[in-house]
Amino acid sequence: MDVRMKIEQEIERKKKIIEDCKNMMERIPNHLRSSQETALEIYKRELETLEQELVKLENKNFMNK
Amino acid sequence: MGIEGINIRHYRASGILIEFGFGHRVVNNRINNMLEHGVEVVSSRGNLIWKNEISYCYDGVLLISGSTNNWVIENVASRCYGDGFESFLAPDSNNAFISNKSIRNRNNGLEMYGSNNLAFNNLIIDNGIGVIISQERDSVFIGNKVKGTILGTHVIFEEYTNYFAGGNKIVCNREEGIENNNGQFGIFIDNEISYNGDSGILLGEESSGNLVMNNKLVCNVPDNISNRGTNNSIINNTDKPCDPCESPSDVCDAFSDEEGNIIDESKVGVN
Repeated sequence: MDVRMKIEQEIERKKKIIEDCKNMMERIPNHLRSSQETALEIYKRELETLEQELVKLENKNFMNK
Repeated sequence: MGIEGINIRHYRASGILIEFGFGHRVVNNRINNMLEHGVEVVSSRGNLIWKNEISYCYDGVLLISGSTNNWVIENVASRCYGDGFESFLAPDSNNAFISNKSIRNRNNGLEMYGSNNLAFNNLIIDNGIGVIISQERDSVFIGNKVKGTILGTHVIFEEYTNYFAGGNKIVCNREEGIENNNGQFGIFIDNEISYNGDSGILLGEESSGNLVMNNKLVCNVPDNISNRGTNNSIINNTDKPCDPCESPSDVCDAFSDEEGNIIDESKVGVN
């Protein structure tokens, strides 16, 4: 698979998980919420890394043109 | 840090996440039903991931964001929604995947991006795609068995250079045994490639300088070797067509009866 497409697909998947995670946060009992928030933070951090990777790839492609 | 003998089930993130650092040991854990991955290694090096049983996760084991020099040994990844084992991009290099079982995962059994990765003695069965090789150069694929894949068996992308595949058994897959789209200067030697539903070895139009030698190719339909590239060398291969009235599907049905016992899924995914 094309690298750009691979990263984009992973970004889409992560965004969907983050959205689901946020939507269900209010329904989670208080005693479980902190671990849920930790998971959400991990997702957000990973999404950020992937987005940076995509920008780097686009810059690289632009330089090669 | 060592994590050993833990049962992990039904979490929203990855079962075990290693971020940064080096030399951690993740041994003999059972991980199932994660929304993310069984074991995820992020920007970390020199970790041992051994004898873990992973099922119903996204990827079984994922190495990402510059994870290098990791040992992934004797794990089982089954029925994952993504890949069994994966090194994500070019910076995830110099990793070893040894004696793992990747069974009935929805996407790829083993997706190996990056340079100088090793896959040795893995069993890759009934996955969407068996093995993907892409980005950079020099990886090695030795003594593995790939069987029963649906959408592609062993696919080499993006002008991958100096790839080595030797001593593998690639049988009863629905498409090409080895599909080298545009790889350059690869070596394919001593492989047994039989009863696949498309060509045994396909060298694509943009492939060049590959050596295909001493392979045993039997009853791949329509051709055992299809060479559409330039400057590829095809030497001393056993090229046997199907017997009269023989088709890959008949032979493979018999194989699957014989080998049903080696996939002991009764132990996978149950804690």
